[in-house]
Amino acid sequence: MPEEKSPQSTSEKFTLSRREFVATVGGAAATSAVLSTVDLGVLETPVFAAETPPVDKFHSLITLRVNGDTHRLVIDNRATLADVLRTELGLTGTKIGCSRGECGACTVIMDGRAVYSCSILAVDAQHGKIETIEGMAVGGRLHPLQQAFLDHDAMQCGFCIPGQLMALKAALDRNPNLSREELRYAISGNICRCGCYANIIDAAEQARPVMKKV
Amino acid sequence: MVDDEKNQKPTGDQEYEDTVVNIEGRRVTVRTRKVPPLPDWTETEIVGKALPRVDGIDKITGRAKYTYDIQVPYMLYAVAVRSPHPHARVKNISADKALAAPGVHGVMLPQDVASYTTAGLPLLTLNPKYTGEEIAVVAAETELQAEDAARLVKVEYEELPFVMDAELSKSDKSPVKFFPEGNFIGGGFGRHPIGKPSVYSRGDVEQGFKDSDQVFEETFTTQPQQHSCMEVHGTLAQWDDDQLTVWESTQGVYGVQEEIARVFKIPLSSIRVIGTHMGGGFGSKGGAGKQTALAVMMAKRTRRPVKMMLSRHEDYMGVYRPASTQYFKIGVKNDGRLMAIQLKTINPVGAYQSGANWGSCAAMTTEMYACPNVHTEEYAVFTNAPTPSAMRGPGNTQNAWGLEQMMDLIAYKLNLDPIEVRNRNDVKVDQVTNEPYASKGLAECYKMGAEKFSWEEKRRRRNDPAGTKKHGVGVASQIWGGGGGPPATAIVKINQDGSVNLLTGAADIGTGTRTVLSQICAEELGVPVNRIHVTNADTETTPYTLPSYGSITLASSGPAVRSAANDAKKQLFDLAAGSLGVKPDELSSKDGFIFVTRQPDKRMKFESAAAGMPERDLVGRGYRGPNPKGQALNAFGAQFCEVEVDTQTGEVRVLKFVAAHDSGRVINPHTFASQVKGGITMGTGYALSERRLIDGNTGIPVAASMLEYRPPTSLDAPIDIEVYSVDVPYKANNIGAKGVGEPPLIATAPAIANAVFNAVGVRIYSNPITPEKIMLALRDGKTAKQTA
Amino acid sequence: MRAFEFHPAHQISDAIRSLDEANGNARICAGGTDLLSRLKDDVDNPERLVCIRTLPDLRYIRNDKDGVRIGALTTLSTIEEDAYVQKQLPLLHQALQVTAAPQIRNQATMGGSICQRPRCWYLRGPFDCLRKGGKECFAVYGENKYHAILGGHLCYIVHPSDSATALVALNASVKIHGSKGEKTVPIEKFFVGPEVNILKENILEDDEIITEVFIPHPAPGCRGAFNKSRERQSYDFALASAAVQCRMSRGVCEDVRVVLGGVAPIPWRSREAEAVVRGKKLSAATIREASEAALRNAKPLTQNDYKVDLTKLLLTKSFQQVSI
Ligand SMILES: Cc1cc2nc3c(=O)[nH]c(=O)nc-3n(C[C@H](O)[C@H](O)[C@H](O)COP(=O)(O)OP(=O)(O)OC[C@H]3O[C@@H](n4cnc5c(N)ncnc54)[C@H](O)[C@@H]3O)c2cc1C
Ligand code: FES
Ligand code: FES
Repeated sequence: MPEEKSPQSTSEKFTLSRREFVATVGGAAATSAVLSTVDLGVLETPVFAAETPPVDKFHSLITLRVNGDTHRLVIDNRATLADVLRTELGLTGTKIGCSRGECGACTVIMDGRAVYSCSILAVDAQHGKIETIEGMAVGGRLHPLQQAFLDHDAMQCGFCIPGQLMALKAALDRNPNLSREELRYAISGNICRCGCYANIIDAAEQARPVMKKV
Repeated sequence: MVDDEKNQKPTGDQEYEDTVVNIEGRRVTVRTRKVPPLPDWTETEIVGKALPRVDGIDKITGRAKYTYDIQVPYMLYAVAVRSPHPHARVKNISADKALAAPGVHGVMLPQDVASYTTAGLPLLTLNPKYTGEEIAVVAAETELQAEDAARLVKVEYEELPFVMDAELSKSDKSPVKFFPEGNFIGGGFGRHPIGKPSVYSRGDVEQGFKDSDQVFEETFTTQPQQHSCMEVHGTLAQWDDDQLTVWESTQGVYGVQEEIARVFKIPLSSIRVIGTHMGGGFGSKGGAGKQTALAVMMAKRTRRPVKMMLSRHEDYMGVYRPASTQYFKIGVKNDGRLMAIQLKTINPVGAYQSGANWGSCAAMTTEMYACPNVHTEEYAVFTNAPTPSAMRGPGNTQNAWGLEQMMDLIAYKLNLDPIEVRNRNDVKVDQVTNEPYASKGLAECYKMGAEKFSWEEKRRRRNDPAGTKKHGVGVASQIWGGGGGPPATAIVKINQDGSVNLLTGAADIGTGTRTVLSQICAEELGVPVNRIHVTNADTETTPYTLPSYGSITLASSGPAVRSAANDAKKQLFDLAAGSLGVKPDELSSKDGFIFVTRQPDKRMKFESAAAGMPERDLVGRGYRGPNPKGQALNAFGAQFCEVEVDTQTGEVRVLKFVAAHDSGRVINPHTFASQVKGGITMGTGYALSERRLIDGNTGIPVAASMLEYRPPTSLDAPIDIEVYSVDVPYKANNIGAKGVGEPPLIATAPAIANAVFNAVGVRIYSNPITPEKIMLALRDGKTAKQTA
Repeated sequence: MRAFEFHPAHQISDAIRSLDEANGNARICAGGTDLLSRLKDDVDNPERLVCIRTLPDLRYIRNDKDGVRIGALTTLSTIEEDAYVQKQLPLLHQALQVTAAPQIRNQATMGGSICQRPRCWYLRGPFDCLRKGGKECFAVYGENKYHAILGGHLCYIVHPSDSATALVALNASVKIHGSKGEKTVPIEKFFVGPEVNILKENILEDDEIITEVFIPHPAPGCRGAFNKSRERQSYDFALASAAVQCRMSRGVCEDVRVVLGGVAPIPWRSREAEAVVRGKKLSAATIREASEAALRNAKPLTQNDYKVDLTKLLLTKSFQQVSI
C-alpha cells in the first residue's frame, strides 16, 4: 500500500469512541439512515479491559498500525489480531465467525492483501499496515463498494459483510479489471450464510468502474 | 412460544376473539383483539419500492453492534466445560484449581443449577447424554483465562454405553434405554405417548393402492443440517441490583425474556432483553438457550456482567435440523392423479424428549397435493446426540426432498411433464383442515417460472451422448405457513418536528424487518421513509411480538404497524382538520403533506401539523387483528434449476435458478429477493455439500467446523438467480403480505436432485449429493441409496 | 490454546538456536494459518513459538541458471501470481489456484504449506490416535471417506498439501538449516510415510527450518498438469489430485513424473504409471493403462473406494492435458 492511500486521519473518524460506546450501549436499538459525520474524537485505550498484564514471557508489548493510527498495548501472546482489534481497540466491525480461517468474517487488509485476522497472532502483526472496515468510509463518505452494497441489497444479517467488503476492496485495489467470475473467486474465502453472493457480486460489478476512476 | 395458559380468554370482553396462527407448521389458537379494518392499499408510494435497507449503512460500515460485539465495563467471559463422552456419569468434579487460576471469578457446577432447566434441558448435568453436553461453567476476565481455567476443572467420568444409530436405538437391541416405555416417541409438537409413533390418516390407503394403476416405493434420507449462523449463539447478561439486562443474539427478545422469567421466577419488568442486530438465526435462536440462563446466573453470582458466546466448534455440537429417513409408497392413476400415499418417517432427535418436537417431517405430504387416502407415521427416535431445534422450514424442508423427488419420479415413469403431474394434483382447499386457501398462486408460480426459465425448451434439449458434462433441469414446489397472526403490537410516535419513532418488538434477523416495517409506517403516514426511526427488539422500549420464526414476522407485525400508523395519523388529522377547515375524514396524506382528499392543493406540511400538537407528541397504537375464520393461510412457490454434472468426477455445478413465489404483496422487492436467493443458497448446501457427522464408534462429532461441515461458498452457490413474485392478491391481513423467510429453502434441494436425475439418469436418494455418490451411482448403473 | 513464549527470529541462526533450546517444545510459526488452528484445537501444545515472519530475505522468487528458488516465507499468492511460474510451471500454478481460499493464500508460506499437518479429523480432534502417540487409528473402522487408499500403514492420513504434490512432480528440493548445518534434500525424500515415522510426515528435526524450495528449470518440451477434485470449490482439501509433469518429444513421452495427492500419507509418486508411459505415445489406451497401474495397489478403507476411480480419472485428465 502506497502511503498516500492510507485511511483517514484520526480526527475524521466516525467510529464510536470507547467513552461514547459505553454511554450508548445501554440504549435501545438504533438505526441510522445517513452516515454520521459527527466527530467523535480519538480512539482511547480501553477503559474497561481486564487489568493490563505485565510484560512477561507469555505477554508482549506490541505496536499495531490500524487505519492510520498507532496503538501500543500489552497483550497475551495467544491473542489473535482479530481478538485485539475487537476487544482491545473496540474495532468490532471485524467479526469472528470461526476463528480457524474457515469463514472470512475476520478479513482485514494487511499491506494491501486480504488476510484472516483470526489466523495471525497480534504479536506477529506488528510489521504490517492494517486496514479494517472502520477505515473504509473516508471522511464520512461511503466507499464506492459500500455504496454499491447498499444499492444492491448485498447484505442480510450483515455479519459477514465487513469481511466481504475487505476482501473485495483488496482485490479491486490490486486489479480494478476483475471479471464477474474473478470477483466470485475474490470472495470465495468469505462465507455468507444468509446467501448474498449474487448480490455481492452484482454490487462489486457496479463499484468496479467507480473504483477504477478514483 | 405461545402456550395454552396464556391464551385464556379475558372474560366479558366483546372486543376479543379466538384466531388460529400457524407457526412452523403448528396451529396455535390465540385470543386477540378485534381491530377495525383498514382499506386495501391500491396505489402505494413507498410500499413495493426497492428502497435500501434502513440499517444498511450500519451494516456496511461495521457500526452495527451485534451481541458478540458488545462490551460493558467489568465484563467477564464464560466458557463451558463439556462432556467428552456421549454418555457418562460424572463421578467427581473438582473446581479448586480453576477457581484459583488467574482472572477467574466464578465456577458453576451441576449442583449449583440443579433446580433449573430450559426448554426441558438441564443447564448443567452430572449425567451427560451426548458429547458436548455442559457440565460446568467458568467465568474469568478474559476469554483466554476462562478457557485456561475450564481446562483446570477436573471431571472424572464413568463411561456408559451409548447409541448413535436410530434404527438400533429403536430396536430391542439398543444398549441404552432412554425411557422404560422405549426409545422413541411420536414426532412433532403435542403430547405423544412414548413408544408409539404419531399418526395421521385420511381415507383408506390400502383401498387407494388397489385403485391405483401403478405403485411406487422409495426410501429417501436427509442429513442433519446445521444453521451455521455467522454469529454464533451468545448472551451478555448484566445485573444492576435486581434489574437484569440481557443482550442476546436472538430471533425473539420476548421469548428470551419469558424464559428467563420462568426459569428464575423473576418479574418480566425486571428483565430487559435487547437483540437489535443479530448475525443470523435460521430457527436456532427462537428463544433462550442454555448459555442465556448460565450467563444470567453467573452474572448474579460474580456480580459482574458475563458474556457467554459459544465457539464455532461448540455451535456445531449444538442445535440442528434432525436427519430423516422417509419410506414412501405412492399409488397413482396413469393420468398422474395420486390415489394413495403412505409415509413412514424416522427422525433421530437426540437424547431429550423436547427434541421430539422437531422429529416430524410428514406434514407437507399430507397437504401439498390432492390425494384421498393418506397415512403417515412418524417416529422421533432418541440417540446420544445433541438436541435439535427448529431450522428454516422445519419438517417441510426434509419432506420436500422425498416428496418432490417422488413427484418427479412419477412424472418420468408416466412420461408426463413434472409440472403437469403437479398441476393435476393441485388443490384449492387445505387437505387436512378442509379450509379454502385465502389465496394460492402456485399454478401462477409454475406458469411464470416455466416461462422465465424456458422450461419446455430446456427440457427438450439433449446432451451430447459422448460428452462428459451433462446439463439437466429440474423443478420442485413448496408450501409453508407464513400467514402470521397475533399477538403483535406496534407503537408509532409522531414528534413535534414531524419525525416519527416506530417501536416494534420484531427482530430483524437479516430479513429486512426494520426496513419493511418502516416502509409500511411511512406509507400509511404519507411521509418519506427517512422520517421514520425504527427501534426494535428491545423488551423495555418496544411492545410485544412473537419471535421471528415460522416466516410470520412481516404478516404479524406489518399489520400492527399499519394500524399503529393509522391510529397516529387519525390523531394528527384531527388536529390538521381544524387548520384546513375540513373534517378529519376528508383528509389524506402523501409525500409529507396532509391534504384535502378532493382538493389536493389545499394542504399543509406534515411537520406543520405536528408542530401544533398540544402534548408535543402523539402516540398511535396498533394491534395485529385476528386472521379470517375458516381460511388456510399459506405461502407457495416453485423453483426451477439447471445443473451441469461431470459424469466422470461426479461434480455438480448449479448454473441457474428461477424462483417464482407467492407471498402476497411484496413490500420491498430487494429484501424479498434477498430472502429467496438466501434460501436457494442454503438449499444448495443442503443438496450438495453440508454434512454434520458424529463418529459412530465414539459418539464424538468429527465435522464440527466450517471446513468440515461445508456451507456453500460463492463458487458453489448459484449466482444466476432470478426471483419473481406472482402477485396474487391476498386479503387476510391489512398489508396483503405473507411470509417469505423459510419458503425458498424448501424447494431448492429437491429441484437440484431432480435436475441431476434429468442430467444423468440416476437419482440420488440421500443428501448431500456428493461427487462420490454420483460416481458410484453411474458406475454401478444403479441409484445410490447409502446414507453416508 | 495453552500459553506460550513468543520468539521472533531476526536471523536464521536465532531461529535455530531458539528451536534447539526448546527440545522439541517449540514450533515454527510462519503464516500461522495451520499452526494456530492446531493450537486452538488443543491438539498441539508447544511452550514456544519461533516466529520467522521477522526473518529478512526469505521472501523471494529467484531465477538462476539451474532453476527457480523460492524463499520459504514467500506467500502462495505471490508464487501464484509470478510470471515465470505461470509460464514455466503451470502445474504449480494450477495447484495453487485451487489451494484453500484467497486470504489463506495471501498468508500461507511456501515452507508452511509443505510442513502443514494432515487434516484427519481424528488427528485434529480429541482422539488419542497413533499419530499423536496413542494406540489406534480411529479411521480404520471409523469415518474414513477422506482417508488414504495408498501407502497407509497402521495410520491412514492423507497428506494435505496441494503444493507438495506439485513440487514432488516438479522434482523440487528443499534447503534445510539446522544446528548441524545446512543441507538440500530432494523433496521426495523429505516426506516420509507412517511405516518410517508414524508421528511425523517429514524428516525435519526439531531444530531444523526450511529456508528455500528449489525447482529445476523444466527441460524444453516439458508440460505439466494438475487436477484436483473437491466437494466445495473453495477451501476444501483434495478428495484426490493428480499431477503429471512430462517431457514430450515428437508426441512421445521421454520422461515423466506422476504424483497423486489426497490419497496417501505422502505425496504419492506413482512409478508404476510412469513406467507405463515412458517412451510411449500418450494414446488413450496407454493413458488408461497408466491410470490403472497407478491405482493397482490401492487398498480402500470402508468408505473411500470411490477414490480409486476418482484418482484414475484425475490422472487420465492430467495425462490428456499434457498430451495435447
Ligand atoms: C480453511 C483452510 C483450507 C485449506 N485448504 C487447503 C487446500 O485446499 N490445499 C492445501 O494445500 N492447503 C490448504 N490449507 C492449508 C494451508 O495451505 C496451510 O495452512 C498453509 O499452507 C500453511 O502455511 P503457513 O505459512 O500459514 O504455515 P504455519 O501455519 O505457520 O505452519 C505450518 C506448519 O509448518 C511448520 N513450518 C512453517 N514454516 C516452516 C519452515 N520454514 N520450516 C520448517 N517448518 C515450518 C510450522 O511449524 C507448522 O507446523 C487450508 C487451510 C485452511 C485453514
Ligand atoms: S473468523 Fe477468521 S476466517 Fe472465520
Ligand atoms: S449477510 Fe448474514 S452471513 Fe452474510
